[in-house]
Amino acid sequence: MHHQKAARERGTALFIAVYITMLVFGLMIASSSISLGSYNSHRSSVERTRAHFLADAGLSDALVNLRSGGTGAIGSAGYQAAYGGGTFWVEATDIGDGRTSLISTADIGTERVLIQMITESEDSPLHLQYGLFGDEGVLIDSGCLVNSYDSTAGGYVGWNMGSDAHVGSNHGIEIKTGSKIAGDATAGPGDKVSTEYGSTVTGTSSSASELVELPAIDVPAIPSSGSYILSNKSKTLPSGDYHFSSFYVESGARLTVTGPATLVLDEVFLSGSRFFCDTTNGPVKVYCTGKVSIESGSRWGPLNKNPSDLVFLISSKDDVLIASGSDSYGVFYAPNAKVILESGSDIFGGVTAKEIEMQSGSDVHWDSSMGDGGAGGDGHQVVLWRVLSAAEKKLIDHGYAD
Amino acid sequence: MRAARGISIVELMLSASIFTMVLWGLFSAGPKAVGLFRVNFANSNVDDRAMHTIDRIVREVRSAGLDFCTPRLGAPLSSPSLTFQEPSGFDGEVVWGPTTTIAFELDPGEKSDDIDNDGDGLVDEGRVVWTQNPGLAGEVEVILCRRVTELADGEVMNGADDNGNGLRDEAGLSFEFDGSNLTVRLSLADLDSTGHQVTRVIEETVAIRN
Repeated sequence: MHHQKAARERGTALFIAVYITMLVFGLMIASSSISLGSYNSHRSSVERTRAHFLADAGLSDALVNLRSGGTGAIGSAGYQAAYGGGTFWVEATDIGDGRTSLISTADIGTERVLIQMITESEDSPLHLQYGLFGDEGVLIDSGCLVNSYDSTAGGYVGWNMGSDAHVGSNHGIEIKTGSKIAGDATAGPGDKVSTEYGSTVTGTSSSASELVELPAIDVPAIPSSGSYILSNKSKTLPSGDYHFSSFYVESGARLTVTGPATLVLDEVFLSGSRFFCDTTNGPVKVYCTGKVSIESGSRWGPLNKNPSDLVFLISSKDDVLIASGSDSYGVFYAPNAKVILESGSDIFGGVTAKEIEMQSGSDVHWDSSMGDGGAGGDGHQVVLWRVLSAAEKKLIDHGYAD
Repeated sequence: MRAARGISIVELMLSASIFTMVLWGLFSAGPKAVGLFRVNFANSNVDDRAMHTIDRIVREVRSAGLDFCTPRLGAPLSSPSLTFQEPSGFDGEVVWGPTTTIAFELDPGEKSDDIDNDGDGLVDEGRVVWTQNPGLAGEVEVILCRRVTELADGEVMNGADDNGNGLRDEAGLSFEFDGSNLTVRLSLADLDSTGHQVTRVIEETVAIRN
């Protein structure tokens, strides 16, 4: 009897032990499955996000390549570029009218993301392309300097002083003793670049094969608000459109125009004063329809010191006088007027005019970032950015879409 | 016969004591562990929902056209909804897709009255709704997330910035523009096993690309 009872008890214990073991085992499997599912879900989400950013980085790389004169293509489906723990390639297709389609495909783990960007080639406006351009001639008196710098790289300091300036004309260019053009000089067809002893053109001196046309200025129609005179105090002009019959910022005064703004000014006088622009939210365009006189000691420019953010579009035929101003930034475009940079003037930007005279000791520092479409633009503007589905990519591959 | 003699009373008492202590330990720690697990689970669940929802919203609006985004309010103002259009292709010029709205809506049965009208333990909660072609025949509506608080965590409807994030009286879902940058903020709530409210606030800033 004792033997039989002990055997029964041992069987019960075994049953309980197996039951508990199976229960624990089952719980472990269930817990592991939940954890694994959660892990896979998170991993997939993380990989998709990483693939998205990798595809976007690939597009940025392709855009830099395109703006540097390349095709924009990076790698291929069979020869992918590796980066950030994944691989990518960018297909570049010329879709006509100066447009390029870039499709970046990025793979990380099991995730694939495709992003399309379409860029449009855009020539920079004429007035941004030259350090100096004089339709009927350029005279550079003794001791002048025309050179370049890149405002996107930093300020005008030694390492950022370049030799990419371009002086051009539809007629002759005359460079007097001791002056220097750090860059190229291009005279009009049949004309020449005349250099006196001791003057320098570090790049090439040549004649153009065809004339450069200076487009007329289309002055916007804004009702006049009469005269604007600011004397000996600081003031901010809010964003908007303005038309003043005369615009005087007198000595000791400081005016800051908040962009986006358009100013039509029939007469402009800066007499040793300050004229600045806050272009954080948009550019400031200044149309001058009459006399422009910037007197000695004046300073002007955008607060961000990006010359292309302040453009003086001068439609009048009166001579434009720019006296010595230090640390002044902006671009002057005067297709009908002669611009005279008085002795000691110092401009960061560029001047395009009917005729230009740089008086002795004046300097122009052309911002090379303007030459490719202005700050932030390098001749290829982004017109479309979108995430593509695999089906949309197939349509593009088969020519049913751009 | 020796093997069948069994165990002594001392051995029995000792093993019974150890067994009792182990059981006591298990039974006393178990509920606490389970409770902690449930609280963590609730926290984790809210975190997951918040991240998934904001990722989805950001993915949608990143490729929107800036000019099509309305309203475009900047700090200290913000909007509980955003209407926008994304490019659907390029045919000589950008082809824009249907109008889409992402907005906060109060739950059905819930009112904006500081009372839990629907008896789910949360007060004035709502949901994030994605709507394509709003108000048109082809309208499609998808609920991206539930249990969104009517106002952001720490915010009170008083015209002031109570939670110090630079926005006044912002909703549980808010869109704030700074130029072409859009900041999306989402405030989610849930109840843990003890009935306490768990709230999470998450924000993400995205540059609008078109």
